[in-house]
Amino acid sequence: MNKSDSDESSNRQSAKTGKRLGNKTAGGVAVVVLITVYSFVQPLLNERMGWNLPGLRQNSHGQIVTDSGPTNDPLQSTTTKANESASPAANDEPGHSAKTDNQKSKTTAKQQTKPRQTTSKRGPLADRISPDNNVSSKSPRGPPQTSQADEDLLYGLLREVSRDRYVSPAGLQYGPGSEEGHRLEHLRRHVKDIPNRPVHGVFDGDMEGALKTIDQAYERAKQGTRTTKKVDRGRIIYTVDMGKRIGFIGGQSGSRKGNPLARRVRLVLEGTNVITAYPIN
Amino acid sequence: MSPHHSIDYCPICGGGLCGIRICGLSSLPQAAARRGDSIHGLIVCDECEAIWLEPNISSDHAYPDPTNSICPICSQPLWGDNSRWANREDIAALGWSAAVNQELDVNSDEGIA
Repeated sequence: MNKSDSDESSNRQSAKTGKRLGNKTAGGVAVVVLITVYSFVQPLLNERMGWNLPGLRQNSHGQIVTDSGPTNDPLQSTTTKANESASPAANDEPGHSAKTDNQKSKTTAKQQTKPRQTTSKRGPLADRISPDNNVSSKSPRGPPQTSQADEDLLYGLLREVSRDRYVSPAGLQYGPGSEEGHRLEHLRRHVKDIPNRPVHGVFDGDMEGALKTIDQAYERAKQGTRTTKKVDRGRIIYTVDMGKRIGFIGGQSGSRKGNPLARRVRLVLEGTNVITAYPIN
Repeated sequence: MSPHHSIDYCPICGGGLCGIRICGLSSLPQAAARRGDSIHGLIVCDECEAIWLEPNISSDHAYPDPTNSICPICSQPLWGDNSRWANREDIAALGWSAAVNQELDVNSDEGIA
């Protein structure tokens, strides 16, 4: 065999190898495309046709594996390697859902996250808190010590310092007193409208919102920020402009005016004991 | 609960109603003996709890103890069973009917909203 024959043979072999490699690459691309298409189409087909096609997800080594049908989680069907580094719990977050989410997968997501939200323990008084403003249920992945601390706080804010006496983060105290029996129960009057009252200030955000606003008002009052102060026989009456809506004016007068917004807080204290607080315009 | 009948808005806190309260309703021999009569009226702000002993808010006022509010006349609990927001009949018995500002009436105990 001469040199030219050898070169020709070598070239033929290279061409064959290149062709094989080209075929392999094309095949690989086709497989990837098919898998991608399948991963998008599978939940839709399951939903619309009532089928039970297995889903695809990646294991911890980045390999694509199939899910068993009945326990398939469509939310994980488009999981990418990038978010593998996130904790498994992160994949259960509602915001983690794939773009192809359908109604069924949304339901699944809700079912998965619900038990996590209800695991937070709360005291009997804290059950009165509006769920919309529940600090205790903020983030299931928050620092455990904060979560534990929130559970011990009334309305996620007030620390019990003695029997029926609570102190806010700003140092305001809520204790027994008033016609309602407790200052917090009196405050509760100001988180809902009393339509047959001549005029009635109502805080936004239920009890938690009211307590936070009152604390902010007290902080501003102590700094003298947009605050007027009147002292009368041991009672301190602050009027604090919060510079934004903090509630509305209800009652008969408020209703006649279309319930105008309230941006000031009237805060009546004796020392740091809250006597009353309510929004005014 | 809001006062049924009031004489004005509170001149101190601004948002409260100066409601008419009747006190001395239960049989309290000691208190009655001290006062020489049983029932008496108070004007009480339902927000800041300022108290007047007559239906005139320009007169002197006082505040009860914030945790243990008692009537300054009979020393019985201000929010106890011997005391209530006065209805029209109570107010008539007190002789304070002329002081009522009907625009501030809250309850419909006499059919007035």
